[in-house]
Amino acid sequence: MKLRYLQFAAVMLWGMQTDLLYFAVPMGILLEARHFTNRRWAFIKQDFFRIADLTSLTTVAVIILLFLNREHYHLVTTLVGWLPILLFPLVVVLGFSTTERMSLDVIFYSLRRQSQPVTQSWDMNAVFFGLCLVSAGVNTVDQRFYMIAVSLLVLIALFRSRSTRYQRHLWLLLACVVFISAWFTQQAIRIGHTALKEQTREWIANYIHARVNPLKTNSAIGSIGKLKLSDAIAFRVAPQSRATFPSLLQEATYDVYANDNWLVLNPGFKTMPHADNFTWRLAPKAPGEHRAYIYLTFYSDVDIVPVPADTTLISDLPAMDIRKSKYGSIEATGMVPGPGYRVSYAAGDDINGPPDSTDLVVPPAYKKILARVASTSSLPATAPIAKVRDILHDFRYSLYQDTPKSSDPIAHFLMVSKAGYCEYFATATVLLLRYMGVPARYAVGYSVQEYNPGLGMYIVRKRHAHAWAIAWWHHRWQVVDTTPAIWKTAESAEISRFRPVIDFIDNRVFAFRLWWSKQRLVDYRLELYFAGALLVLLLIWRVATSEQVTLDTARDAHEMTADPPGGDSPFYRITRQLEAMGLARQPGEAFSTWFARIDHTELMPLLQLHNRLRFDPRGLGKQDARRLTDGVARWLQSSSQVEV
Amino acid sequence: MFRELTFPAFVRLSRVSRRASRRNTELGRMLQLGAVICAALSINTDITLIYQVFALLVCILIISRLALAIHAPQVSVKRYLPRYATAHESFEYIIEVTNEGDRVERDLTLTDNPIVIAPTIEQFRHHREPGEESRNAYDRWLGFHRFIWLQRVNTGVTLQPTSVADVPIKSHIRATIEATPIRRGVVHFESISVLHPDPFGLNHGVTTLVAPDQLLVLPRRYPVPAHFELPGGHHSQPGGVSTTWSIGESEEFVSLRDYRDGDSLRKIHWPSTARRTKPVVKEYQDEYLTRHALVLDNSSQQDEELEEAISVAASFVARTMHADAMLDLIYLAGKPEIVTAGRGASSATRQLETLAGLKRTLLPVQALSDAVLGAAHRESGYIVVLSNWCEVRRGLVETLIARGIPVKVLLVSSRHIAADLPPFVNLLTPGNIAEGLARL
Repeated sequence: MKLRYLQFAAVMLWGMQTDLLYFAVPMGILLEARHFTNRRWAFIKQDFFRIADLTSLTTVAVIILLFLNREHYHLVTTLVGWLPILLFPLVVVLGFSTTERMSLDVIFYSLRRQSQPVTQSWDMNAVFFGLCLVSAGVNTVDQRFYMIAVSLLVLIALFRSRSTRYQRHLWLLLACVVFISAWFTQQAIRIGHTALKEQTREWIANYIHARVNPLKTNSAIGSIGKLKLSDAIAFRVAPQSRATFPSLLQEATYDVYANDNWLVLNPGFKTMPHADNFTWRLAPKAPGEHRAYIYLTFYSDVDIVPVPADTTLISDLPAMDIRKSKYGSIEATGMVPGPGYRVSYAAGDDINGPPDSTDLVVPPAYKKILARVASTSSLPATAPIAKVRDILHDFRYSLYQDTPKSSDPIAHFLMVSKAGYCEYFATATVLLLRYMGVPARYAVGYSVQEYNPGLGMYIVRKRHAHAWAIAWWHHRWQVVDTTPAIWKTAESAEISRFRPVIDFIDNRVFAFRLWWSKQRLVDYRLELYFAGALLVLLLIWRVATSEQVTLDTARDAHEMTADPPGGDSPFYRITRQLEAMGLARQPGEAFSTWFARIDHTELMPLLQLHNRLRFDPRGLGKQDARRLTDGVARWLQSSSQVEV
Repeated sequence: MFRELTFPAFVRLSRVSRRASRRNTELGRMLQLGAVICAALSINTDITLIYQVFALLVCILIISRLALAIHAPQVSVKRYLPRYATAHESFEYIIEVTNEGDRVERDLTLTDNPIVIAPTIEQFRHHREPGEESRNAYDRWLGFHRFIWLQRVNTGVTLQPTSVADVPIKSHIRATIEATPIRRGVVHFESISVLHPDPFGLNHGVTTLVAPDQLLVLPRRYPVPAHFELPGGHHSQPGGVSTTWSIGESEEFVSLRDYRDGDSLRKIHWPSTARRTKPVVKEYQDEYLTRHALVLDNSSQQDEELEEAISVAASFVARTMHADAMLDLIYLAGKPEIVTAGRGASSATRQLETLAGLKRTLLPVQALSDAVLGAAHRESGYIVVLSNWCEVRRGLVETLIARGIPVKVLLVSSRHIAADLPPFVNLLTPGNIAEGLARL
């Protein structure tokens, strides 16, 4: 591809779009400079191997660096954005070498080992041109400018290498068709993706259980068989002190029970005002606030943030906004992966809104059952929470369920099996409390229970996901967790034997990343300067000791093929006319043979004059020169008349 | 089981790959790859704009493909193949392109289409690609490279596409195709494809014109040293060589005599027969000339050794092509065969053609030994090209030596070492045949 100036433009576009213009300008100038000099370095293949290896190592190092800092960067897009810098040494060395294409064994290490010679090669200039255009797209600013700029550069590049088979106006027409169709296609992709994302969000919530839905639980109530729980670490909690750690982290509460699920019909989300950058105050500052840092990385741009129910402040959360529902769900939007967030909490405050009439609704189908169950406790109705605890005191914790298909799972739990896991206990508790006239809600979140002395933090595993009830009693929400305390030990008995090893590795990686995130580049300034200087010296030494050659310049070539005498002969007007008529001369074909082939032997006398003009050392006299000029004019006139 | 499943996929994949590589230009392939990469990076349109590049590339690729319908070439082609080619030696031939349309045909590319012969699964199992051990473990396990190599060998020739200069209206132009035969034998051509690019230069429209033809590829030949002399001197050939036309010492016949039963019709002297109204034949003087035998042991089970042995034999045939001597090529086909060349009997080219089509014999080597010893009375000397060394072969050579016939024994093998062989055996190692011949 003929990419003179286009490569520079592509590099500039990349620099502007990715805010790396200070890299882009010298890179672009260096790449274009090769068109203005004929000095080249006679690199051999081994040199290219070394540079390719260096590029690979650098790329791997960058990938590791990005992986370690993935809280701060989106790995793939950041890597793509940096690729032009990483690949630049290879491209610039190729540009100033005596070869124009990059053999594939330079790029693919595996090909270097094979005994057959590698014949495939890439036009690395074209690859780099394309890479710059793609890398420029990792930033989402200036959508229209980007589309127009990329289309323009690509179409100009294609125009330069177009086939001579087609007329220019046809090509331009097709280019317009391409641009218009591409414009609508990209719009369609964007709209389609947005719509698909909305559709799949619900699907993911329902089927993958990857995210808490603030409108509906994804409970396993009614499922038959053993509940499978994962030992994987979900996140870590570092409280200010062990004495004040938050034992429950709430994600959502629900008030309507229907079809084995808890729902919220009107969440009433409100966007919370920013107290500071990435900081939101949920309640006025209270005396005796405790703090904890929750090391949880979100990989979705919208997600529910687990917090203690008595949270007053959320800070360091890498989100654009947070919304709080009246059911205590904190939904963050515009999130980027980050190391975690800090919460402040104080006893007495509550993120759950005050109760309403829905919090007292008991489905009619359960009223008889609840009445029978409630009668099993002799405690007075004036102490409803204690009475519920008493009722469920003898129930067993079990991860196994064999509810018959015909019966209601909660009714079966209350009347027959009297065994279940947290979702059963929480649901039964809420329904019993409501039956006794106490407003209650079903809450989900995580139980914080496993302290890791090595890290000095609490580890929260996926199996620590928990459900409990909250009851409005004495004008405040109180946690009523009736699940037998044995659940904590029962579930840890299921632990895999490889789990300690996996945990050890996971915690060490986490500790390293924690340490790494605290390192600052400025602390290593001296080392970096030293390493940079060493590399520059190495580069200077390599360049200075490499063999250099001078390519034939365009001027030299021009001198060699400068027109001999008679190069301006009027006879060439005839040859051009014949070619325009589609009677082109074949390569190596003598003029006389050509004229005989196309039945234009009347040109022979003019050809003789032309040959004399070109090759006779005495040249053509004035009279003969006029004869030639007049003869050519006459022939052209007669030819055009014939054509008309 | 794995091979049975994957092998048909290889056949289909290679066919698709061949078509794709023909239909897409390098730029087109780059844009296709770019579109795939952009598609992968465009999954989330919230965080990148790369989906815009993807849209652009897809539209360019689709529209360029559709634009191939514009100005399809209207040409006819004619192929001019040489009579022979030599394995592993590049050659050029001409394809004439005639413009049958009403516009100048520009920017055309020609590709010639030999009949592509996919390997059989047995062939795939029993052969190894040269240098296969240097491929990575995955490639070795999958075996696709081996499949492609075998397919190329079966097809017999590799061809480079060639660009055609502008073809004026109602005119023709000649394009040169460079070809490299990669095995001996017959290569069949089925058609010629004329490729024209789309306006963006990303795809090729393919117009395939039927043009069946075939080419005989002679075995590879190595240089035989100039100082090499065929063993043995002149030898009496009773009755002369009736087929002799112009070369040699004994063109003269001695006298005329009456025809006797068993005389060849070619010996009848027609003018005298006409005058005397009964058959009269020419009586020749016994002739002294040099007649060599080139014995080729084509029973090797190793492909490389067999091919190299045939190449060595072809090298000696080529060496004696213009010599004033006769050469009997003795080999085994369905039965022992002798092809004689020189002094008008036949040409050495005929022997090279024979070698070009020669296959591995299933007959025992004893049959070859019997044939050689049966013809020993008329041969001045022997060049024996063997591909193995055993008691039968040793017996053959020692018998010839015992009869006082000069013998040059060449053993083409990578399984023997010179120290284990008798001193009269010249060991030629496949891969270093030229060096071995230079030492003769």
